[in-house]
Amino acid sequence: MKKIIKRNWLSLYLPNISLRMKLTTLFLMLSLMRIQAGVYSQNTKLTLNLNNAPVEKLFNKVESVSQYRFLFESSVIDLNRKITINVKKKGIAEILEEVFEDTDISYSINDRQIILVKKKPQLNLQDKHAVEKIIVEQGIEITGIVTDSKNLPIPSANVIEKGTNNGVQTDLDGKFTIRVSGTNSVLVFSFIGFENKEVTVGQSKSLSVVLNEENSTLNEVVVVGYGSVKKKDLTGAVATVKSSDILLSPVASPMEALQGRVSGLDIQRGSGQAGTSPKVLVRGNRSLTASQDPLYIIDGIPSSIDNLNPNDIETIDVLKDASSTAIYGSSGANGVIVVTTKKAKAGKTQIDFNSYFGLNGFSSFPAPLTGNNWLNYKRDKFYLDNGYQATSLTDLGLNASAIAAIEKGQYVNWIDESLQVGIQQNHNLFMRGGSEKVQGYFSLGYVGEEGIYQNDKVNSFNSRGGIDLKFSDKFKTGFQLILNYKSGSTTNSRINKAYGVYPLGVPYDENGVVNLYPIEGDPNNISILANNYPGAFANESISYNVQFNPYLEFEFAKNFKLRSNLGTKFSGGRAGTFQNKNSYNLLSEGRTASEATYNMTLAYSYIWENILNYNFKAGKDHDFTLTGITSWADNRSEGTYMGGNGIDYDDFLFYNMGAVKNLTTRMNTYSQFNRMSFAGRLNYSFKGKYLFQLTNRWDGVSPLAEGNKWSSFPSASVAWRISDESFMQGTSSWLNNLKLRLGYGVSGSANIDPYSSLTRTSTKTSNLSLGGGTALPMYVPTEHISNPDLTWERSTNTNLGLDVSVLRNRIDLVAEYYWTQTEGILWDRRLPTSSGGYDAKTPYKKTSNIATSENRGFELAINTKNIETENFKWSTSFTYTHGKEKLTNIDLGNLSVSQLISEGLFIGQTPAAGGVFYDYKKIGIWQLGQEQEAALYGAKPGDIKLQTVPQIDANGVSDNGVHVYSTKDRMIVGNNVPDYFFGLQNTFKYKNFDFTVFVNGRYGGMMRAQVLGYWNKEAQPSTYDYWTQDNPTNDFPRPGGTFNTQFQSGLELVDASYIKIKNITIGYSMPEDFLKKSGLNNLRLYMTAYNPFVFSRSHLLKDVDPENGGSDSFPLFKQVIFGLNLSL
Amino acid sequence: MKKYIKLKTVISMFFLVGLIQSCSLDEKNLTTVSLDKSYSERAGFEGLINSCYENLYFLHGKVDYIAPTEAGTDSWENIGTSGIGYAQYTSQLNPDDANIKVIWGTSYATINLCNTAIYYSKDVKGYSTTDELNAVLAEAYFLRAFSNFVLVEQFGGVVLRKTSSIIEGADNSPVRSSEIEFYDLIIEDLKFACTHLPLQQTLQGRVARKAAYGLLAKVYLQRTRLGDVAEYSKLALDTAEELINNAAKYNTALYLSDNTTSGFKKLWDGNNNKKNTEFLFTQGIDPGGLNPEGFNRGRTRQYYLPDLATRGAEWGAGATSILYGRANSRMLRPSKYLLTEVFSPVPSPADTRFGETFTFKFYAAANKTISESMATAYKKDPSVIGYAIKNTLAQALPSVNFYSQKIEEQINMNNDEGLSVFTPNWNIDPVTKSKMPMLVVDPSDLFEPGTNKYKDPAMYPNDPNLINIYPAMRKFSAALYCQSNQYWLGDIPIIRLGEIYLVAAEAAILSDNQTKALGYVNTLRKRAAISSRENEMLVTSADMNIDFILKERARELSGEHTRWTDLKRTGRLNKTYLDQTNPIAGANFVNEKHTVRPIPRSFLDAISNSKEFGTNGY
Repeated sequence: MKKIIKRNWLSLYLPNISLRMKLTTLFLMLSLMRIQAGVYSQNTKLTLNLNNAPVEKLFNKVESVSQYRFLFESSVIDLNRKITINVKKKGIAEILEEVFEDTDISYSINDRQIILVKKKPQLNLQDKHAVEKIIVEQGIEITGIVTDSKNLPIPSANVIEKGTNNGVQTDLDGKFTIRVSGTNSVLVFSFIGFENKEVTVGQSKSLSVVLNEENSTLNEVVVVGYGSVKKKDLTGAVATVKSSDILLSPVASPMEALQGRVSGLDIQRGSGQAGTSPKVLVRGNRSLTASQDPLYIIDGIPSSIDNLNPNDIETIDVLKDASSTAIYGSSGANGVIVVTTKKAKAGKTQIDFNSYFGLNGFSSFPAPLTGNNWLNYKRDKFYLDNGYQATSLTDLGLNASAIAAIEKGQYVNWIDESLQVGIQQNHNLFMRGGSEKVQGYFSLGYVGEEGIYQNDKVNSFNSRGGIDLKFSDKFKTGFQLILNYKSGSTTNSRINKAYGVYPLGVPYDENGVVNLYPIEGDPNNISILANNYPGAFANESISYNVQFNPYLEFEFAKNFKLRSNLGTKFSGGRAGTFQNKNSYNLLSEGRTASEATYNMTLAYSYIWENILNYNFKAGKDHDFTLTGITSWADNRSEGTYMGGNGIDYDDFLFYNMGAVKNLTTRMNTYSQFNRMSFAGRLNYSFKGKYLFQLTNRWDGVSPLAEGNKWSSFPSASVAWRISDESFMQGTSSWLNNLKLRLGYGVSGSANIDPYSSLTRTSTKTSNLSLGGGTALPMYVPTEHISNPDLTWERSTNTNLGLDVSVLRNRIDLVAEYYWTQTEGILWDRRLPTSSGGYDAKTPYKKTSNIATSENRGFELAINTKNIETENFKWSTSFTYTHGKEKLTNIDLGNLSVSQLISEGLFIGQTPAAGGVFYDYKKIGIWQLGQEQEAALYGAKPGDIKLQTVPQIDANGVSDNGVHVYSTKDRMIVGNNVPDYFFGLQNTFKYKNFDFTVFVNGRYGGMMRAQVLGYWNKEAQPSTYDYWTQDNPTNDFPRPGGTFNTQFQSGLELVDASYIKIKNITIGYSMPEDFLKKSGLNNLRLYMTAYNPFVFSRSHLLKDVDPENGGSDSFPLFKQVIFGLNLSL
Repeated sequence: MKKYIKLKTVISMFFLVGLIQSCSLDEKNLTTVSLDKSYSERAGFEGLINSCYENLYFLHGKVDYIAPTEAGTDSWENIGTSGIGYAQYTSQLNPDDANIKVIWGTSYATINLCNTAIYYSKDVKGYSTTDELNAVLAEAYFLRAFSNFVLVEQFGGVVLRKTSSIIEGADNSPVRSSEIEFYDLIIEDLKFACTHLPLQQTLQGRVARKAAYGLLAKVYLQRTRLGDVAEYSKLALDTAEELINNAAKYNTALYLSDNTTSGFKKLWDGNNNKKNTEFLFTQGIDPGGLNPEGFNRGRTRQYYLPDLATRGAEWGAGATSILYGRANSRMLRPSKYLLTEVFSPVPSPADTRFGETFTFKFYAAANKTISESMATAYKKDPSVIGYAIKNTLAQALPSVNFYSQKIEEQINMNNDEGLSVFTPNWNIDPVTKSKMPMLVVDPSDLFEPGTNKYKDPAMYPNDPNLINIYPAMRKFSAALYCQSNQYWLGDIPIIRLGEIYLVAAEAAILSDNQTKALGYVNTLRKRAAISSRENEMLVTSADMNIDFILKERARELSGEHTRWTDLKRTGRLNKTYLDQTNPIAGANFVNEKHTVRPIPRSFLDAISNSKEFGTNGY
């Protein structure tokens, strides 16, 4: 590189650097070299000399020499009207006055914004000058203020007496004075972008009017990659969720709050453990082993969303199709979630305080059998296990102590004993304000979550703050600082053990301390609550995250802007565990030496991105925006892990690893990942009706082998605003928007693990000493075998979208259809074990791009305002997603997919998690009277009835499936992908009350419900309806025997469909006069019931929350919370 | 103006410098080194040799190796469905079986690491002589031979790998080699090991020359099942005699009896475990936990335990005993043949091997007074009611128990005051038995008269069900190294000198040298009794036949992972023999099929020629 510098500027880079670098570098260089310093003045007095120039030229001129920006609908203003103006050091108002003197255009100046609107026809008065000139001499004088919902004044709002030509505009403070004819007069308030509001004057002389933002989302700004556009100019599939919807759910993870709110976005909480992040999937599964997590961009920087307090979020934009995500190149294929946090605004200082407090719990999980039901069950089971009736309780496997406990009636429901009601809370303070030049904000938040087990809790403290500084019109800089601290403790889930122990004993002693041996006199029966014994167990972690993100923005020339972002991050964590002889694990294994582990991790990274933006017009109808991006990312992480046992003093917990006599685990980790990227984007709009976008991104990454490091990701999209066509004029009364979008693009996915393209030698730490008491060095080849051809998975996506708004935007519909083909899907191919392995149980793996998958889907989002009156409002949002996914091809030598069942090679989740269920298919229970038929299958009445797979013998003769059940009868029973899922929210507002009900559901798909996996256990769930001679059920076979146990895994597979009333919220906003008296802007109190009602399609899942797939560790729970929103 | 140009220049320089610096897309990997670098240096090469041992720790002392080497023979029955595929040759023995997958994986993982070491032995620097290098390299040859021996006996002629997949790539359509080809390579490798391994190693787990001779003798003998009996039995005899006749040179010796203690008892004494003169090839264990899988070692005993948790606990025994083990995963119980025909069913035999192989006296972990209901339920004489079985649980001395935990057999041991469960292999007359103040279960309680089967309790509705109370195989569980109720941290012998005497005897019989055979057999038998009763042990050359040797091997080696291959070698792994000795193992046995194990499904799924490769008939 150094020698290149010696050359002249123009030839710089051109000869040696690959083509992909050229374009963007050129962008940058040109921008830096060509632009001349402009005339700049902070003086708002302007000097203009235009002769017979179009109005547009004036606007351009004013914008180029001042901070003023014009806002108008292009259809309203005749930009080609020729004007002549010659002013010297005059204020903007004077200039505008002159320009629009004889037109139907009125103007208002809002800070630096100049808003141009058509004068309302009824305002077309004799006096052609502005409406404020109108004075009605008689009647009563009313004063007032017009504000937006955030209590910020709206200047230049129209205030008109209904049915007259009488009207005024509000001043810069949103204040107005108007003389009306009498107390019955109705005032109509309007402002662009806001809904009209009518107020009857009445006796009040002073009015305070709040205008609500118009629901037309068309003018909303939608964040897209490296920039933003108005929704009406959008060409891709992007969905936006606002803070109000996010805050409706009392959850610690913002993504959980998006469940059911965005079509195409499948979100499921997998565990009730405190601090759990939900699983997020955009438009279905595409990969086999690679992470399907979307890319999270928070305020322009790729970050983790787990560190965000939901209260800090302003909006979340979900980029779904490749034409939107290709700008993120190799990390875009899983979708991009762009989060914008709340920032400072110039003007009044604003303070918000949001807080809620509530309870977690009320989890219903079936109780184990107790009492006589249990003993009868054991007798049934014994009979089948042994073929004769038990003659005594001893035969049933009960020892004297257990028999004594039974005689004393000491039955225990261990599920109840394991669960508690936890506390959930979130408190957040947000302050912002500033002047023109300096604006600042900060937020402080605390989220506390206690799960349903003792010692399962997370406390997180979040703080964000930032300052924006404007040195001049051309030069702006600022930074954001983020601090997160999280501490938590967790425990092992013991619910699954509750069915495996006697439902007997005394769980707590008279002091409320856990009885380690709940059955008196039985030292072998260890309490499943042993870890709650004082000092027995600890699993505690701490993590921190510090981010400092400075930026600078420099405008070389009008509409030619460079923004440079630096995102730096420093994070780490510590996890420590401890258990002593009273803990469950040590007690049950009879070990006494206390154990501890101590892990430290450290991650540091930075990303530096430059965004060059230039927009210009060619002629009247051609709008261009060019964006050039460079990005450089460097991520590193390190870790230390230690563990051992033999600690003399339990007081040390895991804090004194020096006291560990036998250090059995000691290792370091180190990982580095570098990425360099260049991207360019061209947006072109013809007459605002035909919109085009072209992007390309070139990514170069370090984990790939030389020659494969660089990859490019192009995309293109078009949109047609049909409703703007002249032939649609006739429909404009009811059709507000009709737009068709088509996008096509390629994006990459799968974070390829660093170092997976090369075999190296790793140090093994399995403490081999060959008996000598000193660990011997062991150097073994790494688990991954070299694959220099490794590259990204590439998803090619086509998206067809339709946006429709009708009836004054009261019905708003977005529909999308997409198809995606993903090629080069990564698979950690396990090499044949005859070639050895990393160890005896871990085959060598070769990560290869060998499969292809296909996804298709249809998505619908509808927002309606059903009723809109002053006192009562009812609005509905509905999302619907239907997706199909398929693994179309996999190249694994001569094997077909169906031959690779034991490899779990199905699309779905990661194969280990099992997205496709290959198992026995239960079709019922053999009943009395079916003895003969059952015998053909080796079964008896009461046994499980399976669907069999016909076997074909050597002569090609099929047995038609009639044979004794065996492993050959496993089949693909189903998969966990739903046919469709939906979310439905209804919001009602009556006066100061608001009421929201949110319902979501999934239909189709199957799950493996662990909660159904306790058949035949020591004390199976009392909800299991099991077969007896008197109870001819088809749910569960009779317990016991060796026949059914072979096939019991089939019992766990059930229909996963459910509908949930996810959220019921009722709120009350304090009335105006109360607010005035107390000096508040807004105060709302609310109550939410979260997850209150669940309806499962399968009757076997009654009372169980199926969202987490019937998992038994950390079951999901319900919540009730009380909260307030306060604004000062 | 000027000011802005300057600012602009600064900004452009800033970006330029940044861009240029950013161009490197090379990542550092600070926790690994390249293969060539690491293995061409002595430290890395020896680190690779060390790693060749690691995977073998998945076999001995772990569940995966117990049923496949002991069950399905004349010696054991399984309990419930545990181990049923191996013990009864049922459908559970199929390519999806987890145990075979581990055995297969262990063998091939070890072979590949050995192959990698053999490849790099050409390049490695830092050894002053070739002999010095070969002494280390011979470990890899030995371990490759051992792994191939396991493979060929369990699976027959499968894939014979001589190259490293790391260097030469994996084989996606592997082909089978014949069993003879396996044996040829095994023998070649062991000859190298016999020549180059040092006579002595510092660590008991590292192989010395005695291991190579021991294994070679076993391999030669096992090779006789493929023909060339005369040739290979002679080689086996010669190799075994090299070791027996030069025991001192190879640092090995039999434990011999004295007047109070038999040599066999000394062999298994915890105090002799870590420097055992009889162990030729040892799984070396660090009681401090520096082992693969840490303390999770030596779990053999729990799979052989009787039901101490319910029936036993009623009489005061502990279910999660540190001394006896945790009775929660019971798998194998002795067959009637093993208990009463292999071992003499008499109260005080000269042969101590039944007593040293089995625990048949379980002592109480709590005071227990015999109640009237117990006496009724177990058909005891009323005279035992009120008798107090004394707790024997107490803090053990460090010399008794490695972790100084409370274990049984510490107090109240006089005249069996604390005896809780008693399972002799001889019958006691019912009246005497009913008056004994403990739970007594003898063969008459366990077995159906006139058969080799356990009783069916359904046939005896009026008797207490005692079929899960039996003697527990207790090798690899000396009190001294009990770490917890599951883990035992003693060394485990994989080959020991005693077996080599029996190899020599068997080879001598095959070579028609009965006299020689008798010498070795009697040497071994004599040290099974205390010296004053040695003469009772002597047999004659008329006894020197394969059936006698097989029984003698069972007496000597029960539980030591050789039984299944012993039957295979001697042609007794067939339906006729199993039906006679242990009918439950014979019921499903198919002679053509069950002498090899199924090929693991995970392997078949990963190759492109699974059809041709086949499942071994499963």
